[in-house]
Amino acid sequence: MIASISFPHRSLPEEVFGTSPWSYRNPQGELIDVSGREISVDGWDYNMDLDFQRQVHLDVTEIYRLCHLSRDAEVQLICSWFCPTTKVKKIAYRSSNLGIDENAWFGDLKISINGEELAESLFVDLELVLVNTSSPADRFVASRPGHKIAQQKLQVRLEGSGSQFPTSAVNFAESSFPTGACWHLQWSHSDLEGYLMNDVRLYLNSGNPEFIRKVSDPDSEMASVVSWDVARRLISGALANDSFVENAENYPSESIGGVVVGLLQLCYPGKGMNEVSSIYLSDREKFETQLQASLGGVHA
Amino acid sequence: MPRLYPRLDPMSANQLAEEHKGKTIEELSEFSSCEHSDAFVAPVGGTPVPQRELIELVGKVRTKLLELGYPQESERSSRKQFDYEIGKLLFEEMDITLGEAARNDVWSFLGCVMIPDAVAWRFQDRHPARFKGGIRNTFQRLWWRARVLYEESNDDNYYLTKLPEDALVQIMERPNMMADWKLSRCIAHQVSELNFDQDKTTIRPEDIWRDASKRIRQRSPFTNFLLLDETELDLFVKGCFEKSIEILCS
Repeated sequence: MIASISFPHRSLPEEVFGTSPWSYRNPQGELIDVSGREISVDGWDYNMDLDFQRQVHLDVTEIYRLCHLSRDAEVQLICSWFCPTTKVKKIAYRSSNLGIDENAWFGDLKISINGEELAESLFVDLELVLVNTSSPADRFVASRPGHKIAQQKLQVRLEGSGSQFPTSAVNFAESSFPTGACWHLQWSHSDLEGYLMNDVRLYLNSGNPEFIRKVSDPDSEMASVVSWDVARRLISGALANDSFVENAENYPSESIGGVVVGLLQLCYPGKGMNEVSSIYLSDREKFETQLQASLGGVHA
Repeated sequence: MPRLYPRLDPMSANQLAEEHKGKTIEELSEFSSCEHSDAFVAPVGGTPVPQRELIELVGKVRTKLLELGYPQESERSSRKQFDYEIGKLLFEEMDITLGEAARNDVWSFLGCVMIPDAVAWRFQDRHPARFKGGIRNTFQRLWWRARVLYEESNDDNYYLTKLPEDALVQIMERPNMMADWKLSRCIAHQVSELNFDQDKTTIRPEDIWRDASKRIRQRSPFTNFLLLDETELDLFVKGCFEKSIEILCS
């Protein structure tokens, strides 16, 4: 096992949960295996509760050893879910304490999530969490109740466009957007904690059929230019927000701030957000050119 | 079956929000309606809220508005009271599921079509974001504050919604943190218990809750707060506030 570097204490990679896949019950009542970490449940509506299940195998002794946990540390397996749209986060499953002397722990998890508490998308998190410890811990050992020592995320899309960027085609002549424009990105620079899939929308001008035809081809130069412009706007907007650099490490990866951090890491690998912001402030033209080089826009 | 409120699509909301900017309160009051040609109900299972109930809801909001001095220009204190009273009223009267309340389009209809004059009265700058759905929508933010900060054990179940605006924004505009309602209430409690003796300190209260909120968020990626009981959570949040005060004072 290779320790994850995402936590400030010793932690474990998601393989610790075993290799069994999640399954979910679709609107037709069939049990579907999930491959990967992202699924779309087509045909969902509020009246449908979401049922998930999976098996978990844990090597408890090994978990304690790798995380340097003391014998009196109490660890539980938790499954919680979070819906960014309805802003609800709940625990769906909580095991009893995993016994350190049990070499293997096996659990058959079945969870059901109330459909009325959901909209658009949710995250189902499987976690190993420290719930109690009385021994003084080393500096890099999980020591406080609630500390996660392993995590696996499953993203579930309930409606809309799957993993595509949220996009709508509208006739700009019948809207408040300038008629001659081809696209408009709607988002708020001040809402970097908002979720990309919920709080950002790209409007394409359906009153310009030639543009729509070109941009609909994901390999076209037009699609590439629009993607680049969207990335550029998100980056510039975020960097113009005073709180971005300060909070850069805390944005969830699916939030607008998190997506911008990811884009900037592509453009400036290995550089911290403070450094990137300095480049942005000191030489905007060079910064823009670097974005163009890293994120594309024009196929030469 | 969930009750389905009328929705207004983002494009129509954008357009109306822009148009409303230039209108007087009287013109917006005349425009106010429970119907609109671009309105629609979600194509999912549920029962549309009857028109009669929408009209009653508008009537109740208007009664509160009149008590607060509408249509005369609003004052700071009446705007604060608006937030408290209207949040409570909407939360108690709308009988709306979380899934519906999470839809910006629902709140766009309320802000752009049903009671746009109330928006203009509350927010004199009439920023479009106050009319159309989103975290800054006049009614959406109040309903969510009432929902998340509602606390049954207290004499006034909504007293936490009376916190300073900046503190409420720190709590409510961080989806990842706010989704843990117990944590949100715990932070709100700490804010409400801050005691400032202006003679002893020059720290601004907003600096404290902003810094504390940042400390809490920094721990969020590697901590599951849902597992903590109220005492543990109180202790943790209190610790973050104390650390912020200590740092800001030094």
